[in-house]
Amino acid sequence: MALLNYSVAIDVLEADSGADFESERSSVAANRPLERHRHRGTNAVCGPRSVWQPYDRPGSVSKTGILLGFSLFLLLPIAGMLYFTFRSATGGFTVDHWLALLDASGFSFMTLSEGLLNSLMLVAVTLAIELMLVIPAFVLISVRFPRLNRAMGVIMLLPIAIPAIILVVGLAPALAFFADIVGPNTWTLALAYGILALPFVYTTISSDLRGLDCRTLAQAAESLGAGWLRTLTDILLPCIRRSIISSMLITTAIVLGEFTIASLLNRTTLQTALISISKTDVYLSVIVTLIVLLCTLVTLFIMATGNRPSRKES
Amino acid sequence: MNTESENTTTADSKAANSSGLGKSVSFTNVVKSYGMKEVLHSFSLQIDPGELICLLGPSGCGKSTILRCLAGFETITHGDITVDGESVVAMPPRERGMGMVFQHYSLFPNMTVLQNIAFGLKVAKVGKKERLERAQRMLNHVGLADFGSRYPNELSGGQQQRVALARALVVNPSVLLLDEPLSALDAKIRVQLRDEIRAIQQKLGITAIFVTHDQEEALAIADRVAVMHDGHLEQIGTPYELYVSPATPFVADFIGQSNKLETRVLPNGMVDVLGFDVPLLRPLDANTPVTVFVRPENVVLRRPDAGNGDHVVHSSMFLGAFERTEVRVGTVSLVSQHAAGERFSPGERVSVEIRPEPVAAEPIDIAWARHATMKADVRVNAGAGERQS
Repeated sequence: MALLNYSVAIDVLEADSGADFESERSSVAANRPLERHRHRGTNAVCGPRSVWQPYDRPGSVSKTGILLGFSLFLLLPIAGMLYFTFRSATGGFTVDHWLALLDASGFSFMTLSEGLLNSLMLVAVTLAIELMLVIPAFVLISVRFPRLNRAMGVIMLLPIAIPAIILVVGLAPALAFFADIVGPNTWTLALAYGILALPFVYTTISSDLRGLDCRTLAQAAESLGAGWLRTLTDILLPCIRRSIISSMLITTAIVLGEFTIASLLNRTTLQTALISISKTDVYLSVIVTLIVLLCTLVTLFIMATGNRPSRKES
Repeated sequence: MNTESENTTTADSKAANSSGLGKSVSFTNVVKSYGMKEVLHSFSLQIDPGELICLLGPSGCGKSTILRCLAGFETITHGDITVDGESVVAMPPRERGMGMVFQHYSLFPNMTVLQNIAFGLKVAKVGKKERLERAQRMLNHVGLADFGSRYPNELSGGQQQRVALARALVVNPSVLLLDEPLSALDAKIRVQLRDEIRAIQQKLGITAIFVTHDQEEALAIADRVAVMHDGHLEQIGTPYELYVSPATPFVADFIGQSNKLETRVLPNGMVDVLGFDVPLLRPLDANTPVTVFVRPENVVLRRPDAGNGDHVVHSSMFLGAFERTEVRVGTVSLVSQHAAGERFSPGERVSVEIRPEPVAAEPIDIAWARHATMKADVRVNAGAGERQS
């Protein structure tokens, strides 16, 4: 539609100005303030512009400007934090706060390492739940019961819609029940996180599944003699491997960043540990926050580069 | 469509049968319902070993459903399906040993061409060396010897469908099922691949069921064509039989092109078509009002030696080896097909003659009920003739 209108607009422009397509293009370019000076000579043939007219890509100057402004906006607070960690309480600069990080005997370090280890363990357990249970279930549902997809779309949004406090109230008895069986382990929190991550995992996976005719693929595999497990492991899961990786990264981010449920259930995770040490050692909490931010940026970078369509996928 | 080649092809497949690859398939009173809606009404069909059967019909007639029932992707409500005398109804798809080719290729996008073909063998636990050899041999068969290391999305549609064919054939399936395999391809590739499928099928002597809505395709490659309509079998026969002696008005209408004309059965059992006596394929009571289906090639146009003809040429279409001319006769237009040499120009006056070839006829009250939802047009089917020559 837009394309059609575009060509109509070009026709109109041509009729108006009597210019050919090429000069029309350059006059469009000339309409951009940043490049006007370059095309001053051809500016005369400029006709009325249509809203449908596509804009050219931004020039290098405006691109750099936007990038610079945006990174300033993002980096200033981080720079502020970094500056803060080197400030001495008595004035001047010091690296003592960073060295305190290495002090294995301190209370802060103990809390922090416990929280970090717990969080990493929770990441592992949550990922295992998503990988072994949730994603195969999603794939099987879309292959065997595609009519459930709409209902799934609604149900899978519930963990976002329901406030954390309600989740906690609902989950507490279930977790208590688990605690009775396996003892009061931190990893049971992963059951709650598995639910928390559902909407994000579902959205990522289902958009990939929709692009794949997984029903026919499954039938093709089945007619060749493959059972369900093989179809899943050899064909369907490899086909959506990119969205599986994305959903794993999102899940990791959710688990590492979750505070409310862990705090309400009185568990020590990275986030709750950060809060509790910030009450005693504000420098250390800022330093750890910086480190976590760095890790997040690295993760984002991996996601951005890892998600590029590779040669294998269309 | 010609009897001679028909006979030779059957002889070929018979010869191949002796190798024991082809299996017989039989559908007995198969009923399939979705809830209250019955989509297959007591469908019965016997398929001989090594035969290529085309299931032909308009969309929604149940032809794909039959294929999916045989493959095991649909469970049947009643009846029985046997392969080589053994019922397959209770088996899951993976035990039925059918090779299936889908309309949209459905190659596994995460595997190379060779891995795709070898997948069925891998599942069957064939050793790596042997399965790669067999896959490569099958790849040579379909003319893609050098494409083994490519990924499906690097191939054209026609090439992908060849790979799909190889993937289905490499496991030595008992029956090859093709679900509109050529519909997504363009015309030239379609004809080429169609002939190749036929050649490979004959070479292997495998029983094949080919679902299509394209009658040209069906008539060109099938040993027998099963014409389906509304969930039941209208007629099964060789392409020639279907064309020359359609058993039902639907078949007459659906296969090839027909002029539909309303007339009456004469006391002598013939019908009066524009003043010519034309015999009926199946006798009807005298005086019955009928719609007759007259093939365009049986409508002969002549330039009168002197003076003007009775009818006016409306339009003329050049179609290569032959030409199709439309003439206004009263309120209806009549399509004639003739050699391209004799040209009639629009506005010219001609006389019309109907060859006394037997025609199919349908009593009109039934015709009304059956065709109430169809477009009332003299020419319903554009199709076969145009592309054939």
